[in-house]
Amino acid sequence: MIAISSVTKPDDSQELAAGSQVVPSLARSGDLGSEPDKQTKAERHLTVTGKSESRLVKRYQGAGNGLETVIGVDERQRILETKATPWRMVAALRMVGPSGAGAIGTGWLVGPRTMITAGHCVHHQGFFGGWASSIEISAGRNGSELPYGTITATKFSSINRWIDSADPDFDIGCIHLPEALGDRLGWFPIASMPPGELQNYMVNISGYPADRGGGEEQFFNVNRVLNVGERRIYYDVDTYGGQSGAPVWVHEADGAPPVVVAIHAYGTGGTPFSLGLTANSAPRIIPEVFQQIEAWIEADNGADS
Amino acid sequence: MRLRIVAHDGQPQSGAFVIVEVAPTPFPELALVADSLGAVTLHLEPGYYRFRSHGRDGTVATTELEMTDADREAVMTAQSP
Repeated sequence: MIAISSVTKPDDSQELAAGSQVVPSLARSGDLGSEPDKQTKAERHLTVTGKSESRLVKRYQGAGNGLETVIGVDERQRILETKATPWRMVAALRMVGPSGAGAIGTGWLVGPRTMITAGHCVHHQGFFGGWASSIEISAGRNGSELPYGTITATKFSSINRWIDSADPDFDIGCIHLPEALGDRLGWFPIASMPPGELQNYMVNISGYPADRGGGEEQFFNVNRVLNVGERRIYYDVDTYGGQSGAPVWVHEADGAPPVVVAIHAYGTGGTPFSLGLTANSAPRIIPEVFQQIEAWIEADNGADS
Repeated sequence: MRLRIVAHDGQPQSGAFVIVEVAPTPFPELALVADSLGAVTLHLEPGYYRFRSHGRDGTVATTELEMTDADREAVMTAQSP
């Protein structure tokens, strides 16, 4: 087991629970929320289920330089029906640092009052100079349409290994929501899957990139897991800056719910040269991270009661 | 360092997004937003970097530089994609 602990932005009035205080279950169910829902064409036709021995055929155009996070031809598809699950559980984020520095990212609901994102969306030494001051959250944003409005959060947590040493394997952040948005919109199930089980799964990623739609439109892509490391997974799913923090999910079978197994954070430049892959990557929800996420959810639920 | 994004006519590109495409250490997929002066400020380790900006008007700019001086300022001039 790796020793990790939660680090919370200072000036919080409440102490958050430590990871060791939770039940070490390795799967947590989701919720569809109280808002009306329907299965969308996008969910029926775009999301991919189960495992595959081969990756989806990608089209390549020109020589490229192997550095872009859109790998080959851009195959991301815009999601228009963002008021249905799971798309409404994904949010466009606008972060502001103490100096006024701004950035965009993606978050997703994991509990009634808990949203998960990348660690660098809540804390980045090189850009914010530490913690973000505030984050505007627009769940299910669809261009200028804000179906669930925008809420502003100021309370965040991350993992000590991200805060202390910017370890990409623990680039995971938590936004403690000021209202129970998840009760309306629902939240994703999560699971800590062993590396052998994750291998060859088809992974789905949806988020709000900067290059298409200016961080206001949700884009989706899917492909096979190329490599599973001890703490990160690697895939050639097309992403771009602004999609940091997006959920990386699998469907274990036809009709099964989306289960988040990792948090998207890095483009191809974040993949170790030694792997010999052109791949984007995400820290996995390893058991220690799973327990920490559960602790954040429990603490937020306690704050609600 | 300070990175300024300007349009072809020299006007600052407020609200442009800046991506760090290449860095000496893994740099996350964060999209930075240029301020009212079209600038973003970053504290970076020395090394080779490549940046790309996306203006609100659809223009794109890229620049590459070797970071040796933390106080360095670079200017990116946006072009039509």
